[in-house]
Amino acid sequence: MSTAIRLRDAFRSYVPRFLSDRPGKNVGFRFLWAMIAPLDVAAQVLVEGIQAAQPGHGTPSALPLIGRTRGISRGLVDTDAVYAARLRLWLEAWREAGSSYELARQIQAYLGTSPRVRVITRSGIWITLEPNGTISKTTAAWDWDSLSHPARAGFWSEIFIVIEGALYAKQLPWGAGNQKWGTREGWGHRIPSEQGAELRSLMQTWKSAHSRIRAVIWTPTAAAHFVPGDAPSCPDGTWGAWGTTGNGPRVASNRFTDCRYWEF
Amino acid sequence: MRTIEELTQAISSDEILEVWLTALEKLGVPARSWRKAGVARSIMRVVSKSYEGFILIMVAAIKGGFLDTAEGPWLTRLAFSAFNVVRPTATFASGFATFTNGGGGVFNFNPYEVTLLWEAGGKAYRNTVAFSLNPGETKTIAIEAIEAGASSSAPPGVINKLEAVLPGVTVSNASSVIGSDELKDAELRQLCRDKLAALSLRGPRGAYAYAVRSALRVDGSPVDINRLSISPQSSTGQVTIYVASPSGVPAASDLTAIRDRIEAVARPDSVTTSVFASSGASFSRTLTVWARADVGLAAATVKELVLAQIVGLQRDWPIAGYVKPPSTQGYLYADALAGVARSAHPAIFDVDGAGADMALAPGQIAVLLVAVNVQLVPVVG
Repeated sequence: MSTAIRLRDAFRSYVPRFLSDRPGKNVGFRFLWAMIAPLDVAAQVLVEGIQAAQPGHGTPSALPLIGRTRGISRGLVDTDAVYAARLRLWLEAWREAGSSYELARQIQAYLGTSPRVRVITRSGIWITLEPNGTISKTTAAWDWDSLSHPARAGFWSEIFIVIEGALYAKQLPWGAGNQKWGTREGWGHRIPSEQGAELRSLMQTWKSAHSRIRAVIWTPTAAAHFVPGDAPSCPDGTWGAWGTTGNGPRVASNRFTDCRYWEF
Repeated sequence: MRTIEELTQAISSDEILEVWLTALEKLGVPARSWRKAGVARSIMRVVSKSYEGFILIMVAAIKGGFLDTAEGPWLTRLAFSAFNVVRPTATFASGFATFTNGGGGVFNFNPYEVTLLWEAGGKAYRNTVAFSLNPGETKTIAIEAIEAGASSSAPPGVINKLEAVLPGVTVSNASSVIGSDELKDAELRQLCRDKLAALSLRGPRGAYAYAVRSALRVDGSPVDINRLSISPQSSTGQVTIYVASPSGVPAASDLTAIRDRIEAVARPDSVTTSVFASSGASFSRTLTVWARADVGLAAATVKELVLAQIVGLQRDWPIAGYVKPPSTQGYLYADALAGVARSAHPAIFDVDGAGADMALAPGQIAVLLVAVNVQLVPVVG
């Protein structure tokens, strides 16, 4: 959009004759023209400035400022158009903040590759966000640690997040590839440190205050782990800690070794 | 399309003048050769100054579309239009004063007729209700500061003089008289961000922060809270919140107002919330401040400036301190104390005695008990 009226042309209609654009006698006219012309530039700047705050209409360079204003993080691979579209839905997103649905949406949007994301409560309510954006709710058994940590049976507000897809590789052995663990990448999981921090911050922002993310599980798609109602693909009650627990009868964990686990 | 940096770039009158001169030369008008104090150049100079002012307003308006860059009235407008948040204005400090008539006069006053003084603080207050005072009578009357803002807040016992002498009448305030400033830009931005989370009924952490920051007392004034700490997570549906005022422990009535507000805007069903006042952890140190003995610089002045900085540090240091990951333990860092002390005056070149960091538990705020010794050192050479 541009300003409809060019002030530097419009003033011709209302200048007195002695200041009009007369051949050979137009120094006054040119003087006025030079002073009025910048107003057209200023008007255009004003229009663009107002549009700048409107995602998808104004300059893409303003998207980071709009994102900060609207509290919506940019996804790792969001194009300007995709990010602008997400920014336009800010109020819808915030109205659902704290829900498993919105938590899954924000994680999927951040990762950008549209992985399937599941948010599962300790009591076995599965919220699944598919790669195509459809979302579903299922009830199925979820037994993370009834054998390894029976004392946690009453921890009703804990949730588990399952992210499918080999988005980040397993960490290399210590020192391989001139890479030390815990420097620029995570331990055991080759997610860049800043992305790990952003993702954790995003989860903290979009989950409810009264809940706890017991684990974030990164699983390869092909492994077909974590299928609702399919017991062999789900935790068997021994997953409370990697390895064995330190108290009482020691129960070996049967966690899938091809998955990566974040625990807070 | 211009970038946001270009759109928010102010232009000086000199630059505008240069644009005009260049344009005129392109139009075949030798404007640069015009006499600088002549009519045409003077008109151009005056108008370019006006354009400069207009462009400044324009830039402020464009910046006003974004929370990070909007300032002053533009931020107030953005907060209201985009977030439905009204910037809390400064309040007139209010409270009660007790009048005792030890003489024989009979007095009747209309509202705002009697002026009371806090002499040392240089502040004045007036009665807000009509009252009469008979011989031997004692009455406690609502009063209000003449000047809005926190600077009119008065501690107990200091409002003890009447502007117009009333024979035999004495006055005093048994409790504090409290007022607050208009919400600052940074605080308003945070309130807007928290407001977004309060749109949800699911209890994200931001909703609790908004509830705390937007809680109002019975008289409509905001609660005196400048720090809060919300538990990051819970396995059993609990949310624990600690709050602190600029001076440390908040008033009990403020905690009540906060609890009510949380019920109204943040807590989902089946969730248990607990709101506590922060507790203080004493941090006792004796600082030796080394400063150049600049001409006219007194040790007492340096000491006063250092102590003022330390008060600011204590007022703003967060509940449970700052954490340096991967550690989860928060601290008051000794370097922070030394740093603010050193920043108090350019003549200060070193600070000794800050000692070790102090760990802060969840819900704890640092209470700085710091003695300051100033050593002025003559500069040789």
